[in-house]
Amino acid sequence: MTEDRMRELFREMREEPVPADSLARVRMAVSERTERRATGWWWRFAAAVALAACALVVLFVTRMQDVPAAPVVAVARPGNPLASYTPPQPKPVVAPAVRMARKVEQRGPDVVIRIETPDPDVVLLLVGSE
Amino acid sequence: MQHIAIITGVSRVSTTFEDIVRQREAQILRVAHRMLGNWADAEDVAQEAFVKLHRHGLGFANDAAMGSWLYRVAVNVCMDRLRASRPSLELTEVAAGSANAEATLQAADDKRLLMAAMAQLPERERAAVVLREIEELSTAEVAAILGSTEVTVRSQVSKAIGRLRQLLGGK
Repeated sequence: MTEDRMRELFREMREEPVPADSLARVRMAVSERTERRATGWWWRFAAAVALAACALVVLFVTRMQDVPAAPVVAVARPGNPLASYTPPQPKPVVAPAVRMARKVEQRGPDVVIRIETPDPDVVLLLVGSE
Repeated sequence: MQHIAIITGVSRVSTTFEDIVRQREAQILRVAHRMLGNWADAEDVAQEAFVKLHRHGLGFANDAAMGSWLYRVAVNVCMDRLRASRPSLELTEVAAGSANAEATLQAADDKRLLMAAMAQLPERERAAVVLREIEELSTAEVAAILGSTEVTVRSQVSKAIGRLRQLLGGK
């Protein structure tokens, strides 16, 4: 085969029509795949939004619980004379210890014994308990 | 429906993805067919190229840039396929409905021989011949599509033609 013939064949190949069914199949498949991809994108987007919402709810619920306040920290600035100043730390308030109530002994009723002496001005009184 | 904005010259034209598929599908199918040797594989390559275009989306400077991009993607997919497995050529391209049956058969036979010889070329040389000689793109365009220089493309085409001549017993 000569080079001229080869080039002639190349030219013929260029002008050769592409089979219509091949064109139709490509068009259909491309349309199907791109639509599927678009739908897939919406589903992925919806799933991502739902996940973000769930994460926010969890965060909100955990924030609702008591969280100890963060200690105040003095920020040092260069050239600021107050940089080295540290605010006095509040002394921890110690709760007064609860005293245990002493058990009071139960005493019985007082006993008084009156003894009269021969002297009418002297009377002996003995006071005691049981 | 996806719209792709293409700037042509100074005016900006809005083209739908479907329009681009309709305009370019024959071109891409033809190149893939010449590279791979059968229409079934060529259809797969064309699909792949257009789906990639859809994914890539907007932002081509002009129509030529988009065409070049599509060619590059199609040629790369073809080369991947050729590297993965050497396909058997469907050499049954007899043009139907010709008045001169003998001449048609002779032409079909020559074409078959040429296709079979092209299948034996290295992938890059084959791509260079298909784009330069069959698609009639400029050397610069072929170089851009293949990611090489014009000198390399010229050398690849020249080597490929020499090899084809040798394979087909030409003078």
